[in-house]
Amino acid sequence: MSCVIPIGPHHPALKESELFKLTVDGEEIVNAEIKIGYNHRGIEKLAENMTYDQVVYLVERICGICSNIHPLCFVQVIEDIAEIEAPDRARFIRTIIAELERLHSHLLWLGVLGHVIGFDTLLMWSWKIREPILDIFEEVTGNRRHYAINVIGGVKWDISPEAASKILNVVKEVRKSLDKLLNIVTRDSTTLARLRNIGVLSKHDAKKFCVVGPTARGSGLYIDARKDHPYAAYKEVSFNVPTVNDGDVWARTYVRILEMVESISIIEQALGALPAGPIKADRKEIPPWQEGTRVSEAPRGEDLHFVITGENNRPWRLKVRSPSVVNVPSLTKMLPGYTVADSVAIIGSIDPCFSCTDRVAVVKKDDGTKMLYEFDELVKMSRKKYGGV
Amino acid sequence: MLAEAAWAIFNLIVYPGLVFSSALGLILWWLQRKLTARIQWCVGPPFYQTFADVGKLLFKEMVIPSQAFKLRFVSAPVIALASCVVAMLLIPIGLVSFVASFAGDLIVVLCLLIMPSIALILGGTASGNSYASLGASRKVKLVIVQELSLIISVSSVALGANSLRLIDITKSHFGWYCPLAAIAFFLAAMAKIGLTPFDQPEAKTELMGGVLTEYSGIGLGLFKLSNAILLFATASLMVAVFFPGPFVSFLAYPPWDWGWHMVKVFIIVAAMSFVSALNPRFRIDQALKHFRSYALTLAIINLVAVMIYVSVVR
Repeated sequence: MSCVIPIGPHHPALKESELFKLTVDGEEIVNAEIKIGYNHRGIEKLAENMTYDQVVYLVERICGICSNIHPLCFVQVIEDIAEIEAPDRARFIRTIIAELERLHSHLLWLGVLGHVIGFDTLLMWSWKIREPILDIFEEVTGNRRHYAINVIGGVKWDISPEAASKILNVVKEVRKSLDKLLNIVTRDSTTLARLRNIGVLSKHDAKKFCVVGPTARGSGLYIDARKDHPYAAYKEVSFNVPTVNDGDVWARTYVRILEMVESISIIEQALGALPAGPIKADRKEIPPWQEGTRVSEAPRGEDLHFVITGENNRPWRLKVRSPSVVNVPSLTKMLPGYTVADSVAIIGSIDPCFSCTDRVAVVKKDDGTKMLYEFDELVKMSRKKYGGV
Repeated sequence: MLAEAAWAIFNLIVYPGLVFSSALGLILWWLQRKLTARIQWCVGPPFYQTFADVGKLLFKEMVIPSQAFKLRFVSAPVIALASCVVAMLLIPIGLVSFVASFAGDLIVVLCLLIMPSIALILGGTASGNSYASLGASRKVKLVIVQELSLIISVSSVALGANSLRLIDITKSHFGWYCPLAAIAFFLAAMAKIGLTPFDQPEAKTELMGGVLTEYSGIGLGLFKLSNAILLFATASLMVAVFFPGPFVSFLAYPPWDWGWHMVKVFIIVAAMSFVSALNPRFRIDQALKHFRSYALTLAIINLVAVMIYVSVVR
């Protein structure tokens, strides 16, 4: 006998509202249906009525966790269009802030994963490790979250030598604590039992669902916007992109911890090579009816901003494709075959950010069902003139 | 006659019944929460927190879902609480069995301590909620292995002590020679109370409280209270069966034996808190496997060893 267990829209394991309808047979999940759209706020439309400087603050509020990457991506698009070149120091500061954000985001995520598998101690520990990073943000930018450091043409705040040494101290401490977390994730048998061999996404399926970020790298796909489309100062620093081939929840966890280690190395290199000079370029006129696209690597994966500039110093169209949009549909593949107890860990393992996700959903006119598209269909659709729904 | 009846009522209501065991149970529950918080680098609640929690729940409205089987839904928490309190009357504290002691009271205590789990299953299935029914089905699976390991582990001590009377088992001090059974009992007790590696029936982040999803107000309060008493009762039973007696002669006399018993109860609850804080929740199949391959095996090995000892030595 099968019944439906709804995970969401309000559920202790989900930090935001989203609905996963699990059809279960006893404990086993037979089918998973995803309904998104509970957090739609119309940000893209709002952006069309704002000036470019205001949009920077608006896109920062797309997500509370990766609140740096959206403005970073947006200002780079505008800089491309207006042919403004951010000074070297600004590029390095952007890199440092982006990597600090990755650190804090992954630590937060690790805690949430611990919480959903019933390991609250892991939650408390990793959030304690994360706390000094937020203090650093407050020190450098004035805010623990929503740093508002990116402006068109550079950054708003400089990193003083004292702040730089503080950042170095903090990341050194975090590096030490990471070893402990790594120990828990790779050695503790009960934790391994909860993470190993669940939610497996094969390399083939990962490609088919076009997943990005740690979700893709956990399935052995080597993609990283920092390497593929270098921005900020990522060309000047050397780092590895860790990949794990297992494709299960553990692999995605392990990849994220290895990424944190890489982030720390990037921060140290960038702070060491921080060039002197101005932090902001002069303003220029932003020409109307131009378009630009940029991708950047958010903690959850590739973040894309597409802008068509308009008149009156306002964008005519802003399109945001955040990483969770592409990662969430892959859950339909990951969930069936595993148990209800695993479901929350699997959902958590892609680090879903539903506020980011709710940009657009395709709803069929006749019966109101929502649709998910696979890669081939999307390609086919993109080649037809009007979507071809 | 009248004095006897008054004494029995006093025992049931005040000591060591409802009032005393609730107070001690809530303090032990607080200890568990405080220790967990300290392990997690948090501050933890003040000592009256659990009293405030339960007190608040007792005076709140209880919502009965329209699809629920009302009688079963309402009576389940009462059954849980009543059986815990009655079990407390039978478990000796220190070297004195205060209230009722009769041949075979060990069996009665074990049966009474199963009742809270049964009540959870009854309440969960009666509430007409899919999370609760899934939680109840997990509890059914867990009860089978947990009670089996518990009973086998206790029976090896009973066999060694050659008695089914708890106070005799305590006085025989045979429990000290059954460390494997003690481990099995410890794990089974954690599953009984629903501490973390074995809290699948409630599973806050999976089933939103599982069997307790639909409970609110006094129903939830009574379940929480009965769980607190159960914490005290199982730890107390573990001391009485496995870790009885004093090390120093003066501890054998009241009130010192009472205090010494409590110290051991606190140590056991502290150990439970450590184990529960340092482990994630098992998946239900992993929990069953864990019980089969560790708790049950250890208990059976111990039982066989005691059997050989009894048949060869005596």
